[in-house]
Amino acid sequence: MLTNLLALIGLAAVPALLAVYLLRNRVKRLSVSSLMLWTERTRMVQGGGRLQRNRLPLLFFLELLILLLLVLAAAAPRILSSHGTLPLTVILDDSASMSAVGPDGKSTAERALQQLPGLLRKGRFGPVRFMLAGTEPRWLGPEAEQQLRQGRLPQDWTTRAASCDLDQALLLARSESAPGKKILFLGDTRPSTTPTGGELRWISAGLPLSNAGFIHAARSGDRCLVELQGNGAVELSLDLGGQTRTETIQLESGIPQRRIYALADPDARFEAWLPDDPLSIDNHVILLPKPPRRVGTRLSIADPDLHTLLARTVSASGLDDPGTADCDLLITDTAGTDAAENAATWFLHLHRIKDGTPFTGPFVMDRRSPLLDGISFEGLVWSADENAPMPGMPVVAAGNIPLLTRTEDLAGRPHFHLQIDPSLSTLPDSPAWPSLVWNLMEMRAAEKPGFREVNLRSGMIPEFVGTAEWSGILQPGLIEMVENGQTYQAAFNFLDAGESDLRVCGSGDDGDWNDPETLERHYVDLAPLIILVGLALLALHQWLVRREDAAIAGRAHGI
Amino acid sequence: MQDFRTWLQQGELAGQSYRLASPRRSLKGAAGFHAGSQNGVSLDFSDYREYHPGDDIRSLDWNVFGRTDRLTIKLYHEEVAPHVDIVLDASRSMGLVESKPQALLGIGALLATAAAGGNYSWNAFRLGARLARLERGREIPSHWPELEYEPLKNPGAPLRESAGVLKRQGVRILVSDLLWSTEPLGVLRRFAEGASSVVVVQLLARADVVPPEPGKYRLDDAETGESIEVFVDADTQKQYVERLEQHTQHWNDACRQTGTAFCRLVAEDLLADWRLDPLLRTGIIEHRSGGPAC
Repeated sequence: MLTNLLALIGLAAVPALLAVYLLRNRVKRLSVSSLMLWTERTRMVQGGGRLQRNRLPLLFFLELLILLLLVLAAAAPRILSSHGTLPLTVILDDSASMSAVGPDGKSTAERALQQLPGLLRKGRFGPVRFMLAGTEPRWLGPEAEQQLRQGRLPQDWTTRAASCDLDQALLLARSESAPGKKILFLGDTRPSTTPTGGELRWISAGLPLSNAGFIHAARSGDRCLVELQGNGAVELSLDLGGQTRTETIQLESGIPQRRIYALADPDARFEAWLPDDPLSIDNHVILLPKPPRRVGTRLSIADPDLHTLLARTVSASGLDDPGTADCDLLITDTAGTDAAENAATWFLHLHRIKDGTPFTGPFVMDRRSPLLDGISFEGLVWSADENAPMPGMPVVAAGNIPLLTRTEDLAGRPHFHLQIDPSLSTLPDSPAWPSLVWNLMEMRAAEKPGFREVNLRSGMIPEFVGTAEWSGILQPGLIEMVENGQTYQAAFNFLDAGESDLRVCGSGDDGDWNDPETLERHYVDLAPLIILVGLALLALHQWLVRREDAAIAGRAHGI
Repeated sequence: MQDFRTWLQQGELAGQSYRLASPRRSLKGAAGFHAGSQNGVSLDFSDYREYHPGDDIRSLDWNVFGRTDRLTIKLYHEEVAPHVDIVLDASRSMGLVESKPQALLGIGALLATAAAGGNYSWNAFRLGARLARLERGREIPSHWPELEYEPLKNPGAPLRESAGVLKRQGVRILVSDLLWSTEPLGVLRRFAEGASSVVVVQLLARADVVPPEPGKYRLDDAETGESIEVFVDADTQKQYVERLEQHTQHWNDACRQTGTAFCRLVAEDLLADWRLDPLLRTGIIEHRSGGPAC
């Protein structure tokens, strides 16, 4: 490796030397007394044109060699010492834009990978580790490493990530610091600034291509919204819950275009497609309806007033599922009724207070609890008995008297305890009451089996509530989970404006590994050796010159 | 460039320190001051021989007849006036570089002056497409005209025809770079025919002796105008020098076979100090007063 490329400018001296010799060797006219002493020699000269062209003297080649050696020495060449192999971490851009296919039919990842075996061979690296840089970095296993060394695309390098968090990847790579460690990044965009310091080399194999894709999609009930970006006219195919149609959209470069569609059936599925282009991952969008989540609520309340109150409130929430046999939420004012219920039942224990102490606040609220989302108890009167058994952590308290608490039994089932006195308390008559019950039922509904989000976008991880856990590689399209014989679906759409915009991609080789410390530690400076050889050749040159001069002088004297 | 006459005068000046020596072989020529190879009428006794009818009876040694009763002729050395022909190569290669024509005129003038010092008569010749007397070539060298050089592929050819032009029984001196491909022995035999003594002076320029610096050259032949491309490197230089030495050796061998004296002079060296050691070694000239040359 050459550390001072400017020294190569010295190569300009080579043509100068050649010019000197060519001028010196140009044909000079000379009149002689007779050609008789030259004729035999002439025959040899005229014997072959090739021989004549090569008639540069040995001294010229010696001088040329010396000059080249000096230039080479000035460029400070170094070779990797046998004991100085370097550790290397290769960071692979796992973002979706790496899957863009160029005119050659190869993806950016494949093009980047083509350079890897050569770089590894050339660098004579010691331990080499590979890391994927997606939304978060992760090390690759030995099998994938082996494939990468051979220039094959490993299965783990999916190029499906919504982004490439290179900073995180670099942090992780540097955390396993070793002296002189080198980092190679294979991506599809040129760095904003050329890496310096001799640690990071950035090879980009991207191509600036025109690509149309969905960059945003959302659904609310029967209304679906999609946003597209690209350049030029694209044909958009739609499936609006069984109704298919196509429409042509004129896209302008850098300006997203938004389209909103209303479905006749709010429970129908929405799909949209774009034609094939360099990046296929962003050409398809599915938006599923949000499945209704209802709570099987059972009232076991002896107090008729309370029963009436809770029945009306539960019914008004709209989350109750009266038709189900499952008891998802048991509301009771009777102790000892919890043992008979199933393992997924939640409990709300109503503690009926008589002649309690009315509190007007201020109430201490645990705002971290979703039970209190959007609720204010300001201005209401809450009657409570300071001696009532209220187990668990207070959610709402009046001073040191808990009014609403939460606890869990040994089976992990949540139990909420609420002090209530409809005669002395204004809580049932306040807006906070239905909200409190709704929040409780919503909390319970959220814990029923199914995907928390059914319309996922890039960067999101599917969260499935149930005994099973979702795992696998996210591919755009539908994902399914089965729980208790029932199938649950979610749609994953790759939506990322940055990844879809391939205009910013480029190719190049930025940064180098030539920091002085590395050179010092791992490379042997060849300049002294080259200078030594140059000096030896110089001595030979001088000897030849002197010998020739002496020979000519000797001949002259001999005559 | 200085006037050609300057170099003739310099040659004259240098030649005043020398004289042309008597050749090893006896001279023949008109009556003069040197002992000839034949018997003549000088005062120097040579030998006795038996009288043959027709001999000049004035040569009879009567004292010997009185003692031995035999007619005996007394022989005397012939006294001759020796002559030297100086042949200057006027091929274009001799005028190629500045030093060569200067040295050619200088050595010609020097030899003529040395001939005068040795009581030789002389005549200067120009070796061109034909061998021709130099105008006023018998006069002192500073009167000689400027040499005109001409392309001459083979100066050996006019030399072969020199018998009728050069004086018989005289000394002949050829000054040339000898850089022609003719077989030297044949040329020398014809050139030396009828001569009492022959000297060949190879006059080369430094550029002829030392090959050019390494590089690529288009060489133009001064005589023929032909061109060739040559890449000169150390090997080429070495081969050139070897071939020149080989060529010179051929001439040297041919000279030995024909009894011709041979020497090589380098123009630049000659012009620098007019030292004529190679020529002195041939014995053709000698210091006039036994002192060093000027």
